[in-house]
Amino acid sequence: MTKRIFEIAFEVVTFLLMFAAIYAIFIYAPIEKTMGIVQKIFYLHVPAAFLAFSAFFITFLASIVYLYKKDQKWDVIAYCSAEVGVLFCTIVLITGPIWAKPVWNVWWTWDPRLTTTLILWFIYLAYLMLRGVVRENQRANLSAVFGIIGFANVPITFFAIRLWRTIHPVIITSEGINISKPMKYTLLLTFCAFFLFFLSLLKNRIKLERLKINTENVKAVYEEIFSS
Amino acid sequence: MTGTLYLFSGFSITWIILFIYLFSMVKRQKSLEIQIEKISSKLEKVQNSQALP
Repeated sequence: MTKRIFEIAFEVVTFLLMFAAIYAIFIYAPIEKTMGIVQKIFYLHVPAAFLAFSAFFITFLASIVYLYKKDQKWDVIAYCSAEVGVLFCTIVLITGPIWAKPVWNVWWTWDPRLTTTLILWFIYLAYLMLRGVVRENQRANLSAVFGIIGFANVPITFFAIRLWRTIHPVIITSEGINISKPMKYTLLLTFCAFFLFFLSLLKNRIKLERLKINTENVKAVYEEIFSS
Repeated sequence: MTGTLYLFSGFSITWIILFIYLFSMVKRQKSLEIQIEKISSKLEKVQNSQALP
């Protein structure tokens, strides 16, 4: 009962924060002088990128724990997190060019940050496809290895704007966030709202995957009993 | 295209993607519920047939 109340409270808070974030983005945050109103895409783009990286980090950790413990629970977490990560990475790859067209005058350029993000998306798309084609007894092990090796591209993507010459804006530096205070507060609020939404999405995806596995197990036992 | 239109496109596409994903999750859950229902109705039939003298 307490757990259910906590879940409802969590979802209500997420919903309210989402509304507050939308209000902050469109009403509270000022319009940027050079880029104009299109800069507000940044409030979706940056949290989505952060969540994609976080999701791939969870996949990485869960894959290590799976290889160590051989407990299917961790394989499920790694898989679901990769799926949610691909979802957010897709949002990053769509909102980025929509922002770039009016600002850079091109939809896409082979800039290090953009290229490494696209590679990252392909890596985790391949991870999801791999699970579909590999035999069941090898699936978890191979996915875990892929999940660990694939994560190597995350720090490369993150540091791409610091390691190479790039036209991608650098907002978060070692000195903090390089934007005005209202923009900073809006970004932090959007971060919090999207982070709670991400947790809720991941939790429900894991629940669904567990339900699927349990149903398949029951089905297999049922068929085994009644076929003999 | 004006900046507002780009902004509108960015936000709409993001929410459409998220809703499609949520919809796919609901669909997958529905299909699992149907499977569970099928198994439990088959088990019920077997139980009923065993209960008969």
